[in-house]
Amino acid sequence: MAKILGIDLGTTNSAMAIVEGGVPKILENTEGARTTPSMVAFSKTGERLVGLLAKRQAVTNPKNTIFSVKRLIGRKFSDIEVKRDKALLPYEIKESANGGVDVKINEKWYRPEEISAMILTKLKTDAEAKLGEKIEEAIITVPAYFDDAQRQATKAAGEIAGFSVRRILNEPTAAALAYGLNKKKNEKIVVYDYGGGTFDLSVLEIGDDTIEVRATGGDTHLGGDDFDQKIIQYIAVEFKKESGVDVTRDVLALQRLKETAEKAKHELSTTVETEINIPFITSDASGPRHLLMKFTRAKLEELVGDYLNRSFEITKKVVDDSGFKMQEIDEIVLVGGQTRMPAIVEGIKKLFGKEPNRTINPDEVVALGAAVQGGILQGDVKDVLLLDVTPLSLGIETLGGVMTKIIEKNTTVPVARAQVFSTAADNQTSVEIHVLQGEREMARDNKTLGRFILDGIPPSPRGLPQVEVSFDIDANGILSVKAKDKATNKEQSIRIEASTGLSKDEIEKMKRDAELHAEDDKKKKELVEAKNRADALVYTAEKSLRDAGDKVEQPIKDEVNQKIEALKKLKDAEDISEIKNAETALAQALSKIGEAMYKKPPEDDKGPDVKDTDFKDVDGDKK
Amino acid sequence: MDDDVEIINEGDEETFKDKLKKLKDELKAAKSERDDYLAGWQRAKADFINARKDEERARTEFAKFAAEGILLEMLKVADSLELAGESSGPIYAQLREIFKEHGVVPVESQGKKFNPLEHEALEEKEVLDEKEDNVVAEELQKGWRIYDRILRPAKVKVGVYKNKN
Repeated sequence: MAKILGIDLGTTNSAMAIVEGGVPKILENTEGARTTPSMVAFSKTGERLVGLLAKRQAVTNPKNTIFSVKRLIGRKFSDIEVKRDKALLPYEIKESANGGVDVKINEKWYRPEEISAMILTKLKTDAEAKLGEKIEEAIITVPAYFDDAQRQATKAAGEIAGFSVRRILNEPTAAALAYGLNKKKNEKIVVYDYGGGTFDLSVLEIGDDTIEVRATGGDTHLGGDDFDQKIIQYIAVEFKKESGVDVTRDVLALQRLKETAEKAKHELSTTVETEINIPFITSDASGPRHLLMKFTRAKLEELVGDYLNRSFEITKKVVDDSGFKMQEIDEIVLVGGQTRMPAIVEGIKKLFGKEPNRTINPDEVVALGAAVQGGILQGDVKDVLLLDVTPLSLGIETLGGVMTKIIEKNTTVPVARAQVFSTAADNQTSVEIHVLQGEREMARDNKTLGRFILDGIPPSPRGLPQVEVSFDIDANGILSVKAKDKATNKEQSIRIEASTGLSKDEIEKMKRDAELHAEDDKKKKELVEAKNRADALVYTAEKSLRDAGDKVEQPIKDEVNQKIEALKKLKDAEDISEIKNAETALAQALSKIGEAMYKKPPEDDKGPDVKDTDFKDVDGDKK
Repeated sequence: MDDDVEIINEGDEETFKDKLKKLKDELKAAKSERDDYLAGWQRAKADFINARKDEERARTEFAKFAAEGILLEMLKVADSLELAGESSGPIYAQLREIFKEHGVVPVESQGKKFNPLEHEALEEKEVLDEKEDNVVAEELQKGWRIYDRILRPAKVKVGVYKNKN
């Protein structure tokens, strides 16, 4: 069965995805990129260029390089939007016969649908090359505010490109689908989409079978590109102040500055300060000049503060339009590369009092959601096959009060994992299985899901019995924990419903706490492990002394006893290095027992004499 | 106690036939559902195996182009050396050698016909000879290739012949 291609046909960039193994996946184009610039150009030689290639010759062929055609598709020439764009676009447009827009390329007039179709054709061809199979159907996304004419025109573009367009899907809805939010009945979702050229805010409500758009708003000329411009301006002005040189006049210098500015913006999402370093940016009568300056996150936030505030004002207004209150919003989804900026994430947290969903690449989330929709239509993504992950780690309490994880957080379910454990003391005939959920290292800092005891373990030295503990989570989130003694095959188990775990907010808190306490927890765990090892060594040492009997001289035995006592004294110590030192000392002393044992010649060896015998190769005769 | 057994009277023959039909229908539906699930399971398994093959392929590709990200960044150092007039010096030669070892070589642009696959146009430059129309008039920044791909296109000025007639 051919796959349905999910397409995010964006104003500046487009992306495509399909469902593979029940999971949506971005498809790269033939240039190896995960997004394709939404640009089409006709070169002077009449060659048609789409995507990156069109971008590379845009500067020298402005009249015949078409970009942002999404701003024109399905609109009337008399629309205010179109009039505004006409002034900004370097290529020619005019009113078509039926009141729409015509675009001029190389002396010919084209409908915007035909231009978009060229982009879609490239995506189709590249997808077919990547997958090695024909693609007949597609889901194409559009902004939630697109009217019927714009949707029809987008659909037509798909059909011109050779697709059967199964659905025209709203971009915010696609983003919600990518996060599986369609399962959260009656929830209210805000999608905050800050792209390269536009800002869109949508409020959605999840119904039983549908996702309804309750309100939309935005700014069609506000995007990440504006942020880049602010940075470039700032750096150019600062550099002019100190050098007297205007770098914007030199085309290569300006290009290098653009690239550096964009890179700096990205870096400041993860660091608070970065360096702008462009050696030999210009050369004049007084010699070559270098551009070197520090650029901080604080400065960046100051430069784009107005843009950020504008987006938050629009957000408040649109939520108000929807009739919902800010606190009523259950989920926020971030779309568009610009939302990687910490100031935006913080701003959203402040506005709504909760963490936004941003684990999926914001440049790709709409295309992935479109693919999910395709998968749902095809039955690829049966509700029953929409798999969850277990949000927190699951495990049991082990020696020293430590939590030993058996299933890591974010493992897809259904899943089964098992580990073999043993007893802590000699002749221990029962083990208590204390089932825990959480990320902290110490058992007491995590949530208890349940406890049970497995007894009837044959009395044996500690560490000898083998008890297999298995965790099994089924597709409904029900956890079964089983403990089985491998010697007797005796087993005991417990069943834990999904609801006995932590709520979503508690989960978030647990994760944050784990991060905050990571260092401390690690130290605590290391101390416990050191004590456990010391304990085991003491046990081994005492056993060795007993076994050695009088085969070992008293001085050695005294030394070992002394080191054993020294280590035992540290039972409640807090200093891990003290314990390690005492441990090493005991180990060294202990090895002297072995040395002593092996030095002694074997006494009274009354075994048989070992003689070389003649032997016949009995089988060798038979051939 | 077998709950499924019902007391059947003679007058319930119709009921018996209905019950049988109902069970047959249920069995048919269950078999069809079973077939769907089996097919779905097989498809998922196949998808998984194919995904693994894809991963293997991607991994071998990755190994070859693993250093691509760093090499792309290092090109900026090469740019700086060129601008500093060091392109005939030993440091530049050292860098070129490292590039070569990883399949990175320069892209020819000067005097070549403008090709967006290899060149990025930054500016137009008016030329007086028609033969120089759409030909790279000046290379502003070197372009580089890695094995059979373009690592970074050359930044160029493209000649434009304006017919004055």
